[in-house]
Order: sequence, then structure tokens, then C-alpha cells
Amino acid sequence: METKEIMYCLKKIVKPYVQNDIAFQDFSRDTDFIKDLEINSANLVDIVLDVEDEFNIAIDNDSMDNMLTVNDAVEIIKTKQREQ
Amino acid sequence: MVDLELAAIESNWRRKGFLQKIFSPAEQELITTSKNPDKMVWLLWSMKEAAYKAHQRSFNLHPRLNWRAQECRLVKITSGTASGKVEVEGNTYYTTSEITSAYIYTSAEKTLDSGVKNGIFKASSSEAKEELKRITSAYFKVDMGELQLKKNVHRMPFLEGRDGFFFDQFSLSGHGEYSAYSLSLINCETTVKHS
Repeated sequence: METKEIMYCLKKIVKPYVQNDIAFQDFSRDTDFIKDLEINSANLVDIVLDVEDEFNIAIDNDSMDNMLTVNDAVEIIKTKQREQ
Repeated sequence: MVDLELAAIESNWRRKGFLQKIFSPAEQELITTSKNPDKMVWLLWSMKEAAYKAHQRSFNLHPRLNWRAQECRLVKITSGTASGKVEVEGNTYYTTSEITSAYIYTSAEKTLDSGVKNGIFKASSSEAKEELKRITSAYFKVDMGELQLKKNVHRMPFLEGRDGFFFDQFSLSGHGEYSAYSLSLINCETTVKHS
């Protein structure tokens, strides 16, 4: 999957949990889920689960550990898709 | 801090896979066998959040989504309080929780009875921040007006004042209608750099 396509899906997944709509308008690879989008930490669990469902991958605990930005998520998704 | 009313709206912890991402099999058992599983979920969650914040503070670590690296054990639980221990990468943190029908607040400390003082507010975070400044300025005899709340690269807050005043043995937390501070003033003289 292309980065652009992954980003598009990711943006749709993240949207319902965003608390800062202005920061969401600038959604980019550098966007930080907590710092920029102010997503509640418990909702990050939902995002991980939604990503697993949408991309049909399993995100292990070590990968989840570092999923703080959009770029982190994109890299994890790419790696997991390659491994399949 | 967990605002229970908001948590019930924001999070569906019964969703498939949710508990497994956060809790060990032993912790999941505490939840499934609890008379009030909703409260148990958020109690354990707040213990993990508090313990990781204390761990982050001691080792100056960046934020991580590593709930499974923290193992909770409950020592004592009553209807309004809980005390427990959380293991984080070989370190033990002692937690104290206040449980009401509206919120659960947990603070964590490295040694028992280290003199942690909490303030919980049904208000925006600015009230908790003001009170934190008030207590700090009174204790260290510095002018409250010169204290500035800042965040370091790992997003942990600290207070900075004139002449190199620096204090960071505290934590701020907020969720929904509630916000809180937690600070330790015992044996903290060494952490205050006063030039």
C-alpha cells in the first residue's frame, strides 16, 4: 500500500477521536496523536484496534509502544504488511 | 484522573481486543471477577497511568503506549480508596487511589509515604495549576507571580522561577470535568536548583 493511501485511511480512523479540530486540519506525517490532536490515551487503544481491523494486521505490544505520531503508525502498518 | 461519566461515553472497553491491549491475564481476571467491572477497568488504568508518569519522571523518559509493560497488583481496596503496587521495568511504584461515583484519581510514589499531596478540582486545569503554584511558592518562599509552568521535551511539566528556581516533583492530570495535581515536598530540596 502506498503511503498516501495509508494516510487517507488513517485520517478516517483517527477522526472520531480527535479533540483538537484545528490541528486535525493540518493532518500530516508529523502529527502527534496526543500532543497535536489531543486524543485521550484510552482512545489510542481504539485507534490501534481500528488500524488492525482496517489493514488486517496484528500490532504487537512493542510496535504499539512507539505509535505516537502519524508517521510512526504509517511505518508500523508498512512493516506489518510486508511481513505478511 | 478518570472522569467516569466521560470514560463511559468515550471508551467501550468491552470492545473485542481492548482489554488485551492494556491488561495482563491476571489483571483481566481482576476485571472479569469484579462486582463493578467498569470501576475496576478505570482503577487499574489510572494506576498504570500514574505509575508510568512517576517512572517517566524518575528516568526522564518519553511518552509511550506501553500499558502491558506495567503490572498492577491491588493491595487493599475499599469502596472509596485503593492502594496498590505497579511494576514498571523492574521498578515498583506504590499507588493510592481515591474512588468516587464521579471519578477515580491515582497518584504514584517510589517509596511509601513520601509525603505526596494531591489536589482534585471539579474545574478546568487552570485551577489545579494555580493551586500548585500557590503551594510551591509558599513552601520555597518564592514569589508566585514569577513561577512559570513549562514542559520539557518529554512533555513533563516543571515550574521555573527567577534566579534559577526549578521544581519538577509534581504531576498534573485531567479528564472531563476533573483536574488534579500531585506533588511531593519531602526530601525535594535537592531537586530544587537555587542559584
